Amino acid sequence: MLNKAPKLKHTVKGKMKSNVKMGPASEAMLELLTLVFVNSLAEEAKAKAFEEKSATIRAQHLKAVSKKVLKKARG
Amino acid sequence: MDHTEDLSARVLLKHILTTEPPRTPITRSATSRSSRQGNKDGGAQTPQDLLRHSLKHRLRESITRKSLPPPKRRTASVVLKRINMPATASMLFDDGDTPRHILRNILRTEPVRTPVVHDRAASGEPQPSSANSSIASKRQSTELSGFDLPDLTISDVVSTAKGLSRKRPRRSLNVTAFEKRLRDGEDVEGQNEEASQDNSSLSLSSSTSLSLKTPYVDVHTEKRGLQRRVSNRRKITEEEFGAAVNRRHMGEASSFVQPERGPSDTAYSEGFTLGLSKLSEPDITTDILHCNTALYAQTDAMTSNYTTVATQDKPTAMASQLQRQMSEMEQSELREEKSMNAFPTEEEAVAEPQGEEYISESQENAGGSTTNGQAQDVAVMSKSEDEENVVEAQTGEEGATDSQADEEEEEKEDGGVDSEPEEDGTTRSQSEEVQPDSRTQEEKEEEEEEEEKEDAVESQIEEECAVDAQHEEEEKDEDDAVDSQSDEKESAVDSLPEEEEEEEEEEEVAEYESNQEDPAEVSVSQFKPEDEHDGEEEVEEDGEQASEQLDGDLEHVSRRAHRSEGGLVVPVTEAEGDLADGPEARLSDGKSKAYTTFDLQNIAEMGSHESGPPHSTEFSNHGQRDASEAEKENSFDPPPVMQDIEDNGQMSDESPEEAAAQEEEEEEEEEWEDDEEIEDAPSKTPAFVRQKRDLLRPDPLASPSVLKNIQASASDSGDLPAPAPKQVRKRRAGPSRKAGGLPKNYLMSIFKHFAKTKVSADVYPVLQEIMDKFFERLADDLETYAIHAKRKTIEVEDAELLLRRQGHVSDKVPVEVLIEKYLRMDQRRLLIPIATSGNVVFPKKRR
Repeated sequence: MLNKAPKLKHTVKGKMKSNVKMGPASEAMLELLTLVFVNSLAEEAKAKAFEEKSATIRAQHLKAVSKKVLKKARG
Repeated sequence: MDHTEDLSARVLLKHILTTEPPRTPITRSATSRSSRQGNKDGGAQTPQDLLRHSLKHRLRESITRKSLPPPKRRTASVVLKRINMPATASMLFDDGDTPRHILRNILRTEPVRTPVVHDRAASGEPQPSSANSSIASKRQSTELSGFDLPDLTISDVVSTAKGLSRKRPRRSLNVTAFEKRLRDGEDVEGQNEEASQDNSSLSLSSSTSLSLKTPYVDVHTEKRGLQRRVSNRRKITEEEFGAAVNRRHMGEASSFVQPERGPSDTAYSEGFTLGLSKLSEPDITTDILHCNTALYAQTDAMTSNYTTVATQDKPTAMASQLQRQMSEMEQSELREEKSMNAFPTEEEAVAEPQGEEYISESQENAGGSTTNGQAQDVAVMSKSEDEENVVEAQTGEEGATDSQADEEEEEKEDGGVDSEPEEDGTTRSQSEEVQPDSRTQEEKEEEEEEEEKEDAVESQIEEECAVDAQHEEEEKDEDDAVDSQSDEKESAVDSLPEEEEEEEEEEEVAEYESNQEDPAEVSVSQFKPEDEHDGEEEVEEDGEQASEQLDGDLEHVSRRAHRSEGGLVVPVTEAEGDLADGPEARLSDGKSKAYTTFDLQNIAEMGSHESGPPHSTEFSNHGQRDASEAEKENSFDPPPVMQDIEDNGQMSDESPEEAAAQEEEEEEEEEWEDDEEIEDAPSKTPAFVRQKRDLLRPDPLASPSVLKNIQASASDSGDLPAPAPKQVRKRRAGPSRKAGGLPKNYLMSIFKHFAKTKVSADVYPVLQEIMDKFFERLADDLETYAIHAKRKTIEVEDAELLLRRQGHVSDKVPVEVLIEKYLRMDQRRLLIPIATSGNVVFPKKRR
């Protein structure tokens, strides 16, 4: 959030199938989207980790929640 | 109870006196006490210590068995014995005459106040008990009040104990038990005492505020126990810590597992992994900084090229590289690098014409291995433009490495040639985002090659490479190489079918030269007439001049390049100025970097443009000089420079042949430059750069063969496509890889911030994957929305729609909320209308 999300636009455009452009404002929205997504990811992962009585989020917690959160962020 | 209130020492004393002074068997004379003090049982400690010990002991005992008065008694006695103070203790209490003793006795006999005391008193052995109690009391008193003498006055003890009781909360004494014990223990001593004790004890016990509940023994024991435990613990911890530290120092993160380190372990492991990951990255980052990314991508290519065939490597590599570079324009790094490269090429080109050294260098390099490289380069140059450019870039790098290694001498020569091609290369580089590293290296290679062959083409190539690499040190080498190469190239230019590239390069070089200096033009003209030898000479001359110019420019450029900031204009101007000052000086100064880069660029340009031979010669000169000068990784630059040269296509003067020859030479020179660069500037270049050079060197080695086979360029052209694609593929792999993921630290930092709890490091790959999928879907959705709206640009409303569908935004929750929540101010400013002065609202509200 405090940083600039380097190469975000580049990354996303790399994933685009057809060549579309993006304005600067939409880049900002892109960042917003990613932040929101990562936020929900982190929250879910945290809950899962607490569930397993671990104060640290580990990879397995993350994996378990990822599918769910990804589905939610499908739009 | 009545006594409880009256705890004054006086009262207690009186009481004791009335009852019976020497309750405790220990009541001895003061002397005995003193003697006791003298020989504190074995320990021979001060009475206070003894007291303390005994008190502790007793306390412990009492604590452990506070419910059992009899055992307590025994324990007290035992404790006493353990304390080794029975005699002394008894001694202590022997003096019942003195008030002290009396007090002591009181203390002892008063279980309430000081359970320890009472316990001791009640213990089987009156003396020991009394001693204990006295000791305990004494200790207490001593400890509490610091008095050495025992306080017979129970009240005193109690009061002091109470007041100063800093012991841990004593267990609530069972007063009755105490009393009983006292009574029991005091049977021998005297009932009076007991009575008094009882009274006192009662009073004491009732009055005891539970602070002194624990008997002396307990206190003592407790203290002891505490002390011991504490010390033990400390030892362990220290030892463990020391061991752990040692282990840690040994690098055993895993072994550093200790219960205390549970969390630290994680952190350590995390740090370890992070460190490991970081290890892999620094090279990349530094390379990126130095615009050496091309080196990475190309290293494989270079090595493969090198191993495959020398002939094709340089031109094809450069060409492929150039192609790839062009395709990767998006990369900011490339842009920066290009800008940087542009400068060196320009500088080189400028320097070249000025460089007298170039001539000498070219002469020297005439017979050098650079010729081979140049020939190879030339041959390579003859191939298709693209191929050549890319390959040249690559081979330039290779050649640069080779040339670097070989042509430390040829710095001057390359300079001249390099400057010319570099000039062109700079222009091209500016237009393209060619990885500077590759370019500079290429340029260097070119420079080196030029020296040998003085092929404008080669010089161009090298210049390109040099520009890309933008390494000062290598410039000279490259220049030399380029110069030689350019010379050689010129000879082979005619035979080279690949005129396009050469022409382009030459043209570029020529342009650069013309733009920069007259000598460049002269060199260009020189290039024209020179097919083989003439070209070499001219190239040398031009190269020298150009190299000189380029050197100066290159230096600046290279310096800037290192800063990885595209200050092309400034360095170029500066370079030009520098070049004007003293070409020779420049060359020697080690501005080779910039110079070589320029040369390489120029060379590349020349090669691509296939401009007239004169340009090529110039470039070759430049390249040679550059190569000689910029011994660093400019070899990589030539290929991009070449591409740039091609792109610019401004060179029209130089004949294709010459250009091709130059290109080849440049390429070779570049290779040479690379080698030289690597060799000459080992100290300057970081390790990774050296590694790159090493990798590149093998490739340039192939270029000599190319140079040799200038006439066989046709055959080489056939081979070029094969390695070119390989190199291209490999180069693409790098950028494409990079395009994939978000930076690791950024991702992790964001995730940690949102997680608000500890996050282990092993989540990163999983996170990467997830983000990958997310971006995929994101792009897909956004594209769909935009297309649905018949737009070709993704707009804010598309993203907002996506958010809405995801459920983060609703009619009740406007998107602005999210914006304000997450985004930085600069982003918010774009999204949320803000009124600024002058009645201006930005951004305009669309709805």
